[in-house]
Order: sequence, then structure tokens, then C-alpha cells
Amino acid sequence: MNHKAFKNKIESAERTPEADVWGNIEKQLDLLNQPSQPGRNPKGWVYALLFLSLGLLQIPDTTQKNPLSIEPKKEIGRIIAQPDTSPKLIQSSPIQQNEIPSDPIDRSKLLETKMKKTSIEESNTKPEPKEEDPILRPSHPPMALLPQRKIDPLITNGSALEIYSNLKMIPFDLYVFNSGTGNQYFYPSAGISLLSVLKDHQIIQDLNQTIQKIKSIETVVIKY
Amino acid sequence: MAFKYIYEIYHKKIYYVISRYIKNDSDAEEILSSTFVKAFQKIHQLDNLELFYPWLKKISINLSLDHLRKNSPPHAAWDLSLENKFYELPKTLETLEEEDLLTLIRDMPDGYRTVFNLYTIEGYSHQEIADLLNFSVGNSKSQLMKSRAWLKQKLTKIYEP
Repeated sequence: MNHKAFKNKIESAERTPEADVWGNIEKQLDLLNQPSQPGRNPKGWVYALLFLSLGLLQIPDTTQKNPLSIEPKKEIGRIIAQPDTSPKLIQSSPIQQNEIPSDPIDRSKLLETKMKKTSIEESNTKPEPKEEDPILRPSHPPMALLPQRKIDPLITNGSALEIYSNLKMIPFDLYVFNSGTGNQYFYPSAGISLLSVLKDHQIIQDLNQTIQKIKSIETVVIKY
Repeated sequence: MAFKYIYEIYHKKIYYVISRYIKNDSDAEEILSSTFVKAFQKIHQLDNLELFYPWLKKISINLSLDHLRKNSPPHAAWDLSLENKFYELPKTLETLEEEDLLTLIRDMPDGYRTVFNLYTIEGYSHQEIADLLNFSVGNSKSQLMKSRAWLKQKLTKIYEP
């Protein structure tokens, strides 16, 4: 047989699969295109905003019972994801950049008042940030800038669960304010994972409970 | 949907290609599915869309070879005694229909079939086949000759019972 004729015959041949292959392809493509997969983000940048305490933002309103108020009896190190009131609070907060107390002692005093503690001296002995924190930087006006920053959808609602559970590395800018020490941390977009940050701050207790709460809120808010 | 349109155009041809390498229909369908998923994921890497079919075919062949590597026993050793024999394809092949040809090819042992497909139909050189399958050029030649011997024997049985 002529080799070329044989080859042409084979190459022009067709065969129909019996199974629903297209349906299977669609399912796989749907899975790959789910927005909760960090690696599929074409821009590659995710912003996650975490507040270890929102106490400062609530300071102007001390008379009303606010669901975000810090409870003095809360155990340090416990993570609590609050309801979806946080974005509203952030946006409606009267605190502006030029109104942020520049002296960390003042903030601590206010915080201590909020937490019904009386020891003012304690705020003067705040521990300095650890030198070994690799990407620790003093942050200037993060609180004022926060409302302007994009809140990435990947960190909202059910997708947060997958981020936590898959422990995927995701790039994001992160601001952390520790009300206990008054320290502010800025993690630039460096591919750090959310979980690694939580571990750095030793706030990984009750993670499952937190995940369940995060599923039903708009923005991740963690305080302890 | 554009992807489905592309699938409709090419899937039967690609399925025939995969079926030449993979005996089991269920496995072949799975590879067909993987081929298109991979192609749709990587289609932005293709500069010239006119080369889409050869590119798609290459993906399907590579996935088929991956499957064979994972599931087939090691290839038979090179048998020197078969060198330079059965160089031509059996003439009786031209009388076979496409489906019969496929059945015949699929009946070959894995090693023969893979090299036969790659060399005779896809046009790979023995060196390329050796690199792809991670064995020697001699082994590639051996497998090809054995495949032709096997084909000839089968066709003899078919036409001269």
C-alpha cells in the first residue's frame, strides 16, 4: 500500500465517543474557572484587610452597644469573625487621615478606656516590634487609607473558607493592627499566605469556628 | 460558546488519534476530555491559530503517551534478527476501512502500536521516538519492524484463512 495513501486514510478518519465528553469538559472548565482559586486570578493581586481590633474605629460612639465592641473578658488569642457591619463602620467612620492620633500612646489610652482598663502606664510600656519579623514595617496612615483600598472578593463569603482550607499562597497587601500592643504591621504584596500571617500572630485558635463565621459575612474582620 | 464550537469541529478526529494509541475506550474518552481542557487553558500560548489542529493533536498524543507510560509494562527488548525486514506496509491494508484499520492497530501490543503510530502515521523520526519514550533508537526501530511483521501476519490471517 502506498504509504501516503495509508497515512491520509488514517488522518482523515473520525470516531465518535460514546460518553458525554463535552459535559465532562464543561465541568472541568467550571472548576478551573471558579473565582476562589487564587492561582487563577489574572491580575495576581489580592487585597486582604484584617483588623486585629476595631476598637479604635468605635471610639466616637461609646454609648451605644455595638456588636464590634471589644469585650474585656475575651481571651487573648481568640479569633472572632464579626458580622457584616464592619465595612459600613469603616466607611462611615469619622476618623480621617489627619485625625489619626500620631502618638501611639494616645491610641492605647483610648483603647484601654474602651476596654475598661485603668492602667495608663501600661500603654507606655508597649513592647517594641520584634526584629525578627521579616516584613514588619511601621505603617503610617493605614486606618485612613483602608476604606479606599479594594476589598478583594476572594476574601469574602464562602470563598474565604477555601482560602483557609486549601492553604494556598496568595499575594495580597495586608494591614494588621494589634490593639494589645498598639503595633501596626504592613505586609506588602509578597505572596504570603493568610494562614501564615495568622500563625505569625498566634491567632489560629478556633479557626474552624472563624471559618464558619466568615462564610456568612461580607468582609473578614478578626479581633482578639 | 466558542469552546463548544471548537470541540464540535475537532473532537471526532482527535478521538480517532487517541484511539490509535489507547485500547480502552473509557481511557481514550478521558484523554479526549483532558486534551480539550488543556488546550482551552493554554490556547493563549498559541501564536498562529492556523496551527490549532496540529497543536491539539500533539497535546492528545502526548497525553496518550503519558497514559501508556503510567499503565504499560516496559517495552520489549530490541530483537536484532528482525532488522531490515518487513520494511513496506502490507499491501492488503488499502482494502481495509478506517474502522477496520483502527481495530487492527489497536490489537497490536502496546510497544508496537505506539512506535507504529508515531513513526508511520505521525512522521516522527526514530531519534524523536527514542527521546519521547525514553529508550534507545535501536529499540524504536525494533518495535517498528515487529509491528509491521505483526501486521503482515494478521493480514495474512484475514485474507488467507
